[in-house]
Amino acid sequence: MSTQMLEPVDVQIAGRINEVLDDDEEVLIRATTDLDENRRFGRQCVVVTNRRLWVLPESDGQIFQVPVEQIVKCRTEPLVGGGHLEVERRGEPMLYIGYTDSQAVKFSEITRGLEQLRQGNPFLINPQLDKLRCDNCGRLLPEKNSICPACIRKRETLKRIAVYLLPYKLKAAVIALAFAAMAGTQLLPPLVTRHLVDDVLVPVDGTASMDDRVSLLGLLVLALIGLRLLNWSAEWVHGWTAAWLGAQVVADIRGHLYRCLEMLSMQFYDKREVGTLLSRASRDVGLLHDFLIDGLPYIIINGLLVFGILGFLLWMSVPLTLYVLIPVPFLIAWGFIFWPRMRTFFSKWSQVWASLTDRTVETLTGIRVVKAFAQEKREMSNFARPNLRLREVAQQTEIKSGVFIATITFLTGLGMLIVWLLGGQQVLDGRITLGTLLAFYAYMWLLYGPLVRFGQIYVEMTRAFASAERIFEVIDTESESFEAPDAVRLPQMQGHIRFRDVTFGYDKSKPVLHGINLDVKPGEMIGLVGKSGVGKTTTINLIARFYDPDQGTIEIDDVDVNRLNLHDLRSQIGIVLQEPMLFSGTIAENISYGRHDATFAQIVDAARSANAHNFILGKDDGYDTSVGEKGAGLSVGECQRISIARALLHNPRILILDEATASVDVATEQQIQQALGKLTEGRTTIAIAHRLSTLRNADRLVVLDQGRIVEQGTHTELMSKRGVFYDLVQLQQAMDAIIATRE
Amino acid sequence: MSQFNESKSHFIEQLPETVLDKVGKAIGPFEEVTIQVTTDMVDTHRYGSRWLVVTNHRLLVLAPDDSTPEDMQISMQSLKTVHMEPMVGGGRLMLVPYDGESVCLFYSNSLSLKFAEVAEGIKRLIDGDEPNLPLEMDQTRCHKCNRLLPEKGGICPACIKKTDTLFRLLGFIMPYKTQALLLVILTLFTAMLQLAPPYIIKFIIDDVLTTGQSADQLYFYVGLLFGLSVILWVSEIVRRWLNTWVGFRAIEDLRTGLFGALQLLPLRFYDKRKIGSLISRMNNDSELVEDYMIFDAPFILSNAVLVIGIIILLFTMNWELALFVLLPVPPIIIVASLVWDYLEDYWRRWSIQWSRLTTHISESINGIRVIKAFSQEAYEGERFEEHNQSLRKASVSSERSWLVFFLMTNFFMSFGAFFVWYFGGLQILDNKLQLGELMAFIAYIWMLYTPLQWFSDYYSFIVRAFAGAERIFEVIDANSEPFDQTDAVPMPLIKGHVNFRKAAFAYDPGKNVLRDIDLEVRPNEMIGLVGESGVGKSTLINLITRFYDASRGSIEIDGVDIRDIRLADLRSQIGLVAQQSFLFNGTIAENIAYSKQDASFEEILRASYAANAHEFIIKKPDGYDMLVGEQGRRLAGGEKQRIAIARAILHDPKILILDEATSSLDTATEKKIQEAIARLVAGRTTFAIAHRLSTLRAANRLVVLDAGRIAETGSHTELMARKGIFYRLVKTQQESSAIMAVKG
Repeated sequence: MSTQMLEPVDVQIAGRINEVLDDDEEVLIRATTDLDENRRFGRQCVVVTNRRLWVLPESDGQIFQVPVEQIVKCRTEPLVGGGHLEVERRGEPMLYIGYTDSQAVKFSEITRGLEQLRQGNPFLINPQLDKLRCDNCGRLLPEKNSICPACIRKRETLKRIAVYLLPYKLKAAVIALAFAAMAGTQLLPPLVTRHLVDDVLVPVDGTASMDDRVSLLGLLVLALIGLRLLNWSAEWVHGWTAAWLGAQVVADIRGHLYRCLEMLSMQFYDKREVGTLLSRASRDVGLLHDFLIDGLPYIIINGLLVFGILGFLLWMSVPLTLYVLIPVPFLIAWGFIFWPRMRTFFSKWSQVWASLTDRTVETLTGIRVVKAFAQEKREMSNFARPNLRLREVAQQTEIKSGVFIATITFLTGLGMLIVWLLGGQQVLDGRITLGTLLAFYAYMWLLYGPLVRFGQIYVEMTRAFASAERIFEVIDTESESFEAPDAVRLPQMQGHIRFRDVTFGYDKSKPVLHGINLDVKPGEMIGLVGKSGVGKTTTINLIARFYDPDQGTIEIDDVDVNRLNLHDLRSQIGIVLQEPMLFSGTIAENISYGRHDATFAQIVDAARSANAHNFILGKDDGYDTSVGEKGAGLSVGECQRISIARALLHNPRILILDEATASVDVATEQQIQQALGKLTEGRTTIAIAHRLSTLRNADRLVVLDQGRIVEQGTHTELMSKRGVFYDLVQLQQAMDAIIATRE
Repeated sequence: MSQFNESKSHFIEQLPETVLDKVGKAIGPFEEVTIQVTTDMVDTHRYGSRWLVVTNHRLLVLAPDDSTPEDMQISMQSLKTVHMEPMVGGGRLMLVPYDGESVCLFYSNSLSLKFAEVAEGIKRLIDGDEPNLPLEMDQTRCHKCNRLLPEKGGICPACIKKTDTLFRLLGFIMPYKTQALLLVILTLFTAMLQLAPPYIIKFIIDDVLTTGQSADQLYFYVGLLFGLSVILWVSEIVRRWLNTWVGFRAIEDLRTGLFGALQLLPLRFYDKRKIGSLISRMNNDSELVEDYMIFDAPFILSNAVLVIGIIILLFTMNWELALFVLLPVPPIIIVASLVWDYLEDYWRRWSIQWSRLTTHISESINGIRVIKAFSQEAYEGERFEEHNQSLRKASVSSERSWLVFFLMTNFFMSFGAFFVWYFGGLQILDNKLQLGELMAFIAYIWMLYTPLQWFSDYYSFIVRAFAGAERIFEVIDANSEPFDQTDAVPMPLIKGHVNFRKAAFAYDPGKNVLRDIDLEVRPNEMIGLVGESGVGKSTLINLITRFYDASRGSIEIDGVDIRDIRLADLRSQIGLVAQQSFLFNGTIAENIAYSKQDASFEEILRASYAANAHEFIIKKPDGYDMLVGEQGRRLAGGEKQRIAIARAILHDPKILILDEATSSLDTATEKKIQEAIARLVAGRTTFAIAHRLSTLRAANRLVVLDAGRIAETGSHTELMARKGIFYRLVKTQQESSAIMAVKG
């Protein structure tokens, strides 16, 4: 277990650290703070080794060192906008290390590490902190732990997006052809009008007869119409196919993303906020969609156009072409100065958006609490702050891009002036015809249009790519090994569970379970007993392989769970959770959630056993009553009974009851207990309950305390032992003896 | 009865003449009609009307004409009961007499709510009570177009006028009138400026290039062009600055309004709604409106000016050619009006599919544990794929319908240019027109058509933005809780005397969860609410906090009807510890001080001591400054619960409500909390719900609920002596508490 926290530092400081350390000193923490010793912005490097704490200023300055034995106490002290780490030293004044708020989480971990060292405990800290800045460029990230938009590898991302196009090669080819046709038919009309002007309207040589000119006029206009029709059909073909392809590709990506999300381990979900994941599936995919449908075609078609136009311009007049290209370097330079600066604004914008969304999600999910405490006004004023900030950031961004666009328009306008000024002179000198000048003028519009918009498209592209990367990040996250080819199949489980020296912590630095050894025979019922937070639910999570143990192994039927086919494992484990979660759909659908092919009779049977049948019949539509999000419309007890029925229908070999009856009233509980009694026969059952009475059917009780098994045995054995369990039972009986009311 | 007659709006409907006659013949002179309502079905499959007239003596079922089945009459004494029977697409009200056949009244689903209330009313009459019908009914259909409303009492989306939405959006700009006015003027100015260059170019071609004049004039005109572009540049920047200034402020206000409305909406609103769809109103819809305010609206304005300006210019330059230019406009308008409705429809379908998809995603992310536990990843994947495919189809068809629209209009537009080339060319050959004028014409045509074309493009955005705005306004307009009711009674100091008077409540009309609750609670009394799950314990509590209003009867606090008390006063003096505790993302200290932001640290400490939370809090590395994470996820269930208790303690309410407050705690912790609660309830009126009856040992009085009624009240000893429901509950619990020897 590596729990070192080593931040990258620059070479100079790294060298200085190496200078001062002894050879056998092991660096455990190396971190920088953003305030210097005078609490001004600056940097200090904090190094914790197995023997000492070092504080090194960035430039030459006094280096502090505190041997671990000399530390009396370490703690963090929050101050306005930041805080400091106080190190109380024996015989010396207090040492303060300041930091701003952005570093607070890091320093709370450092303090924990120091305290562990001081007390001689094992050094266990959480080195994985939320990433707020890009490792590469140090820029603020749009959301924490996300991708830095500036550091995206564009080519790779584009390639990956292209992979999604591969299945639709034919359609893509059609689109490409349509593109070529569109570019070609857009290029030619100025040439036709040039003829119109030079040969019909203002003939350069006045030889052609009037009739010829009239018929040529008709012919040329017909040519224009023909080109337009061609262009129009190409557009039609392109639009029709692109609408299909874009939606299809996006649906594919979304589907892929969703499947990946489903397969990800619980650990992934623990770290993310629901809103963030949601926005990946909606906003990010949406941005990608817009790019695929609007942005990408625009780039391709106009890229083609630019080259075609340049060719025609050079063919018509080389010197004039060179003149009109004068503003182009300025256009490009202006773009290069501008867009990188804009990126920061855009990422700030999305960051503020995210915080506003978080606020909304939180207040809406907690609306009952808000109302119960009459805090509506306060939530509103809390909302006002990010809302104001959003306005400010958005305004800044838009004004900046407004200035940019106006300037670009101005610069292109200068290009037009050049055409008229220098081209006009050349017409007067008789070096080019008027028709050529007008064609030049038309091409200029075609050329500058894309040049102006390219910058904008570029931004959209960057955003779309950032979205794509965020999507790919999820897709690339290692999923649970669902269909690992070398996984052991176990279609018929016996239900023999064995824990061997299992240690586990959600945060590796804080183990919840320590060295658990437990052997559960097939068909046995185990009651897990202990105070809240001792690791009962965690034990269960490990059996279902929601998490993998950090140390030791769990075996089912003598096979390491990690090597078992996950589907075989989970489809034979039935779990009834503490907080029942139902899906929107009918009650029948929810009961048959684990077995969609269940007959109605089976569903009713399961509901009967879970004592849910009667209340279900009492609902409007019986089993077809629809249940809203999170089971809205049902009481908690009803939800719980449905979730029990769901587990029963699942017919598992291993049954896990995590406080399954905590929210049901006593009478119902008793009935459910009876049902469960029948149910647990022949199945390996692991039950957790605060109410010890729930466990009366258990073959063996396992008492957990502080992540360790402290006692196990039958009820009688444990009672006679007069240990932890005995105390628990005594306490509970004392509580359950209903005391006469006060009066 | 007189009091009832005043409010005859809903259940005394206007009788037609024929029925009025029949009623007049059937009833005695002093009989009073309490209910007279109409149905819309004669029997299971025939539409037609029937009248039900109820007096205190009899019930009449009458037809407006002589059709079958015949009119019926039942006297009130002979009526045994009445009940409703749901059937496909409707239902029937069965009047069951003591002997003889029952009389049925059929109705379609749209009337089922009304008849549910009628049935309740008749039941009361049978019992000899007043019918006590509700004064208001939720509307389920739009009264204008009779379409099903998206929510009860909501707004009919089909009957909202676009112009109204626009005016409301403009209303958000009103606070910034001066800036907005400046913006409009500037927009007009820049649009006008854009008209000039083609005209100057006409002079360059006609006066300089074709005539071979000296270059001096060329320099003059190009110089003019340069000057124009500089002015345009500057005014464009100022215009954009003003635009964002006004637009984003308006949007900020709109969002504030939306959020504020969301805060003040009654819980009923949230019951029927998925949180995901509300959040999307905040996100997607407000962004759509933002785009509209910032980009589309100014764009439309300036283009409208351009279009009008150009048309005037074209006609002054050459009216014959101008007519040719306008030739494609009628077909464009025809095509547009044909396709627009489809477009709108498609967008709406798209957004419905979209919200279904997001709901699915949010549900499966929230329920990921269950999905994994049942190994249903593949199934969820399939379900998602269904939504995904329908969304894809919706987006293809909306995208394509837009394409048809765009290309059709585009097609007609390009013909304008061809006409000008041809007929203009002929005029040049006849020397009636100069080349420069023709070129100017061509330039103006593109300036004219491009906005027209963009109008159609932007139309799709506008449709979306307006749909978004409507969804936002729908929330803003939904009836909010009467927070700032001016005539409400301020009650800054509640004593805590709670009195239920015949209170009844139904989440859905016709399905009463509570009936005839009469309960008087003295100040500082502690009431234990006992009963099986689903009997209405939590509902009773929801009525005290006024999360819901009683459908009938009333609740009084300190002798004042709860509906007349200022809501803020009421809620700020009620403390609630709910079954599932919800914490906000923030530090522990912030969460404890949620109801009292100015609480000193000392107060927070005291509260957390009392809730037995202090001990575990200081064990956390950051102590009271620990961030609890989204919905308090970084804390264990018991820890969250204790913080929620501390929060209620600091709130220092006069009325305390404990809804299974300790169910997720282990016994040792619970015992400590019980002590804390015992300290806490002193001097407060307390309502406590607990399955574990031991939790209620401190209660002065226990109230046993059964099927929505109060079945027993009294002290523990009294109830035990009575050997009723409570006795049985206690017995079962004691039985299951006695831990039996394990099987093996």
